[in-house]
Amino acid sequence: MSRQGCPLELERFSAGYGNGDCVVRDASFALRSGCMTALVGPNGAGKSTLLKGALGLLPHANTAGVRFFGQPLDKVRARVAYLPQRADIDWTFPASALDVAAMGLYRKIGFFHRVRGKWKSEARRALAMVGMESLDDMPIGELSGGQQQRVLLARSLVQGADLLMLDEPFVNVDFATEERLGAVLRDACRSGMSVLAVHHDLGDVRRYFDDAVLFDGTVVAHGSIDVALADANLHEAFRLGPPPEDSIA
Amino acid sequence: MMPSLAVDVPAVIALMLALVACGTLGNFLVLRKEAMTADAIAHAVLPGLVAGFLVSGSRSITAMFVGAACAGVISILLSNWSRRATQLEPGATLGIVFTGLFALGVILLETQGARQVDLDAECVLFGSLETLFYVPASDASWYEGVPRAIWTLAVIAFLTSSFAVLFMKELALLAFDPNAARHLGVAPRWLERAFLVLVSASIVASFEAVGSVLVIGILACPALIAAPHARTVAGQITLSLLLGLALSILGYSLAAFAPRLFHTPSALNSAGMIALVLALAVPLSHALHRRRQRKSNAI
Amino acid sequence: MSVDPNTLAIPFWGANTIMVTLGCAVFGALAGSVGTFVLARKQSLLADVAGHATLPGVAIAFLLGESLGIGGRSPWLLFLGGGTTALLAAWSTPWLARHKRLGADGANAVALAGFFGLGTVLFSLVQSHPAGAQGGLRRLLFGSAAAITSSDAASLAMIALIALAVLVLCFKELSLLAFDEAAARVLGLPTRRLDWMLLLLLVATVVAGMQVAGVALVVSMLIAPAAAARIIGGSFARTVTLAACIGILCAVMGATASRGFEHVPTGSAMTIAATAVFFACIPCSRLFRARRSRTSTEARR
Repeated sequence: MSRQGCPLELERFSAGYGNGDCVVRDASFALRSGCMTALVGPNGAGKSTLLKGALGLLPHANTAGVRFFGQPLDKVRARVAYLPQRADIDWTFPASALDVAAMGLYRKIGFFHRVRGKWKSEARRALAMVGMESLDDMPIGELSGGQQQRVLLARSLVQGADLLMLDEPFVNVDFATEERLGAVLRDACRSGMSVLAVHHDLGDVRRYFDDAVLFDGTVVAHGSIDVALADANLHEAFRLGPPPEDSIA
Repeated sequence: MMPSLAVDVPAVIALMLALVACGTLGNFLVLRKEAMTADAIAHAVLPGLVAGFLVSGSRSITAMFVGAACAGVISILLSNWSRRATQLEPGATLGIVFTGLFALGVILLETQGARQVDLDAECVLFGSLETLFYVPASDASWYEGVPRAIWTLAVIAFLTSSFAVLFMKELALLAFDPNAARHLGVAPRWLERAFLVLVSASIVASFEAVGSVLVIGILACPALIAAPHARTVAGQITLSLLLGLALSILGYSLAAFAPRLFHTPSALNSAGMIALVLALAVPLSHALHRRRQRKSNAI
Repeated sequence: MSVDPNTLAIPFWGANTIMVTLGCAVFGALAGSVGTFVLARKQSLLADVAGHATLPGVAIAFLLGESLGIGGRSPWLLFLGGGTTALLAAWSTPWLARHKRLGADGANAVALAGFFGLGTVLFSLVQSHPAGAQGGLRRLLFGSAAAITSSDAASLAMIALIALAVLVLCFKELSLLAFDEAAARVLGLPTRRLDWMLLLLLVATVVAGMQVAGVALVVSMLIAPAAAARIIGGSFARTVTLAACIGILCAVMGATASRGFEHVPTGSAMTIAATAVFFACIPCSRLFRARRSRTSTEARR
């Protein structure tokens, strides 16, 4: 399988919501292949916007400077998987865990074809990877938050992509799920996949990730965790200036 | 008290076809939380409908469809543009645009309807199930007397249901997670547009049966009745159509036969009764679901 | 469309016309100001449901009034009937929306279909009643300033004035509720009761407007002037005042236009005026916003 080329390269990428303000300005970075990269930054820094914009999901993003595996997204769609924020999804939808996992295969299945047994067993295998094989028939509304997140990860894995882009995968999930998701992603990286995940918790970035992109509207620092999250960079991104003198009074 | 072949049978057939056309796509609208958008479209197409009628000078289906399609496109463009320019909540811009267009349609309807006998405001607004007669001509074949509204509805019902069956999984994914659908490339623009066009077409085709004000009843209510009990999208659509058909026939019979039974002088408005029965069934169905859940939890 | 030049010239207006126009103006002021709150609470579509839901109440009131022999056309009876069902709808829709599978969208659709369906069924009884007028339903749907008497207008103006007074008296509490419900609760305000008060104000508005703006179109007089004022901006109090002024303007324009042109329903004319004002304000809002951001950057320096 060809894995050559940088999985994601942004060059002076800007995105917004079409009201004149740019949430992401001039972001440039290139992901290291086969690595887990965290996209960290303060609230409202535009991390999710960066992800959605790069994937062409926002009408007002210019994707000219975005290269996946050295090519525009349309050429390599099958090699890029996306996992949305859990809150973006309507969990009352009438579907089972297996149905959701199989959605990742819709591109391969194609128009006018039903989801047949072969595809179902493939989706079941992905569910097994995240430890959900026993619950595949369960309506998604009856799953716990952690289980829902596992199903979404199974949907991304089943696609067989080489780059996984995740939006807050560890938010509001139980500890067991977090561990499991971390382990699954690690395994995937070992077999050559690259991961870019929006992450909110500076405390446990080191547990799972190799690299980090520190982001605050634009790229503040990028590199291995220790380099990117050096104190000076964090102070700049989170605007942690020295405390004002009159605040003691 | 007996249902009559000339009046009730065509009415019920038209009703069933309208329900299949609107109810099928209504499921996806409800899953997308866009039922009120469909209501807005139903209001906004009125000026186009009337304009089509005025230009063609008759109830020509094509002219009315073209007019309604233009009005529908204008309403969607206007509400998208004003939402982006003002950043108000989507419900507000939608409300302003559709009432504005609806008001325009009403003015056209009232001023021109006063001159043209054929353009009846009551019929456009509240439907005319009662006026669909089957008049079999003795010398011609049976289908000559079938009202044209039924043919139109049959075509639209066939189109929408086959569209839903063919693109079931794509439409479901588009409703569940539009970002993923677009990212996977399984929901191209033409699919979304075709969906909107078919929704508008079923609304326009159904207005003769139930009227433009109550289309929302057969569009959203069947899906909402089925929603708590369904585990899959296909199951929800099937259940919604079965229950919707049964309940709307019940509504029609109540409207048609209650006055004859109680010897009250007037007929009741059947579109209103159907909408009422369908709407009442929604909270009932949700309450039943809750009770069943509580029982299963107790065990 | 034939224009009678006399109707457009004020000196020829009779006392009845002046009274009805005044009633419309007061209703416009109420609709604009209450609309600002509706918009702030993101309840535009609920207002639409409430407007439509007056229909069954009016029909019930008419039928009851006729059968009790007190006459079905007394304005207060119709207000009471319409208000009751509108309140029922405005209260039950958020309650329905709490069901997970229904959501706000589904609840609005169900309530609209149910209440309006009931209304049309009952109105088919009204129209077959000897005292019920044939065109009455359409007059009520789209409004008709020509069909109401000066005593009708006086009663709707009275309702609107009372509601306006309540709004002015409780302005700061209500605006805190509309802006930030949690903060209002933390401050110890009776949010429950204020919530009900806003619902009642909404119901009073649709009831006052049902004869002139029509039950199907009254929602536009609630949200379009408010939205226009909102995009021009300023403080909340200024927005409410501006919305009230735009409401008066649109209501009077609508009433006058429907007098001038035969067959033009008052509600449609008001709606078109309000929609036009809203769309005219969008390009203006850009200018205002640009000016404000310039002054604010200067202030920061």
